[in-house]
Amino acid sequence: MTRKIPGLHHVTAISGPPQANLAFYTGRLRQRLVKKTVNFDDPGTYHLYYGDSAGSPGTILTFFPFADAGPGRAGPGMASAYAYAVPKGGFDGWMESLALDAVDFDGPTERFGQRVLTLRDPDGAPVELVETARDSDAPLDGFHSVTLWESDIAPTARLLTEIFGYVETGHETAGGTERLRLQAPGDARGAVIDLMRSDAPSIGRQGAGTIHHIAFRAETDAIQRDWMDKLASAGHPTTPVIDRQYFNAIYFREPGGVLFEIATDPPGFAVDEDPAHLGEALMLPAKYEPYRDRIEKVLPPLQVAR
Amino acid sequence: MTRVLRAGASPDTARMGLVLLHGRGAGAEDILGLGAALGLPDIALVAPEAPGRSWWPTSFLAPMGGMAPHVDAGLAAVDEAIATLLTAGLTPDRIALAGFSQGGCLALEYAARRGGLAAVFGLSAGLVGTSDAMGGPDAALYGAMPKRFAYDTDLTGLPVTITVHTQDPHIPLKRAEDSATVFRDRGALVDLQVTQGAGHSVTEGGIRAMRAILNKG
Repeated sequence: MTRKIPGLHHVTAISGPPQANLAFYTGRLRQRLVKKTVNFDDPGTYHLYYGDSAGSPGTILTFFPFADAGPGRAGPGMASAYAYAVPKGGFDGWMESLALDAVDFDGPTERFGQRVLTLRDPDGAPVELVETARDSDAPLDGFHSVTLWESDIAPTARLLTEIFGYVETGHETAGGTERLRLQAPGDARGAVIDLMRSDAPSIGRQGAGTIHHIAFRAETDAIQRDWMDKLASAGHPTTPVIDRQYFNAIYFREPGGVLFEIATDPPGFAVDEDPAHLGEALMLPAKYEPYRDRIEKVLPPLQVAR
Repeated sequence: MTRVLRAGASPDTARMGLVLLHGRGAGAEDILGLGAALGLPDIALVAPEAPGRSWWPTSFLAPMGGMAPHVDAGLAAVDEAIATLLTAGLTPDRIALAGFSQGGCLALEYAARRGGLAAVFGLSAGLVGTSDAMGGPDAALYGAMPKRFAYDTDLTGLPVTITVHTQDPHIPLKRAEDSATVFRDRGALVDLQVTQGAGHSVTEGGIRAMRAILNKG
């Protein structure tokens, strides 16, 4: 049987100072802070993970909050937006609650027959809410999709369809913007990827408010090794497996320039914390534990919305 | 100090200048995207950014006591942005003002209070008002108190575009309609575009109106 990617595992983005970011995602968007740790390559910076109450794959948005990050902007070769799935019947309620708090949004616009509204996080990153027919008690049911901005969508589309098993489910052109919709088979969260091409000239710049990489799911470590082999033989060599504490990761850059990761579902965010208390303590990988005092001194204190 | 971004034609050779005001939570880059979408390369674009990406912290329907200092600061930011176009040699009759949502409310308010513009576009917007009016909470204003619109500017011939959805969660239809009336009473040429249904966005009709009016300028 040919292996297929079920959908997104997580999306990692860059933000400015962490407190505003935390207030927005835990307060405004009612996500749970499921892990508070540090950037493993730069332990003086937080790495914050938001998701559903269990920290399930396909719901996880992570941030590197660099206090001095300059503003970035999306452009070709970058992931340009992430979209949350609004469960059935919840869309109008979201509009009302945003209005009550005087938070602007743009929309709804229609995309492939679904209503979409776009708001901005504190760093100006577009956060899309897509009306879906999914039943859920949660205010947002994880990711619906990400948008990849490409100067040429064909090579990326080939990778996603021929290697990852995505299928084309739509194609729209409006106002100089072309959008090809690809969908992973099955009903996992974050199964949709939109490849977007725009006539508007734009040069992207990594910075606050931009997406650093997107991660796809591998259900097990063995499956991840399969992907590694398959990608290498298709001419997309990946990094070796890197231990990210809550998942194992391999990375490669897709032909259009977006950094792709394949992350394993296990061990998950409950590996070092009780599921009832995810995100409450500052968790450090073993190699940084001896420096906890120093790390805690440089990290700004954070207040989670209740 | 407000961050100000520029795009489009150089102001000293531009046919017109356009000051663009972003909505709450968005930034100068976002609203410059609207300017780019117009496809008018001979217009100089200037977009000031509100501190904290917000021109005011509440709904624009909130009582004037809380709104006034924020509105004053916003008007001053627009003054500054317009000044950069004036010093480059553009005259007020060649400077237009546009905004979305909060930015649209600020644009309309600026035009009503200061006058002397080529055109104003309030996309999903309405006037803030000059002071609180008599009367209690009004369901047509989503439970907010009414405002007075005491302007003494001469707006004869000013093209004013106001867009709104019938069920815009931020902008009560009544406020958009009242704003249109206020501008009409002062001699402005008002185009009020009402889109059916629930929504809050820059509409195709709004962009078309901007293109048509700015092309004539």
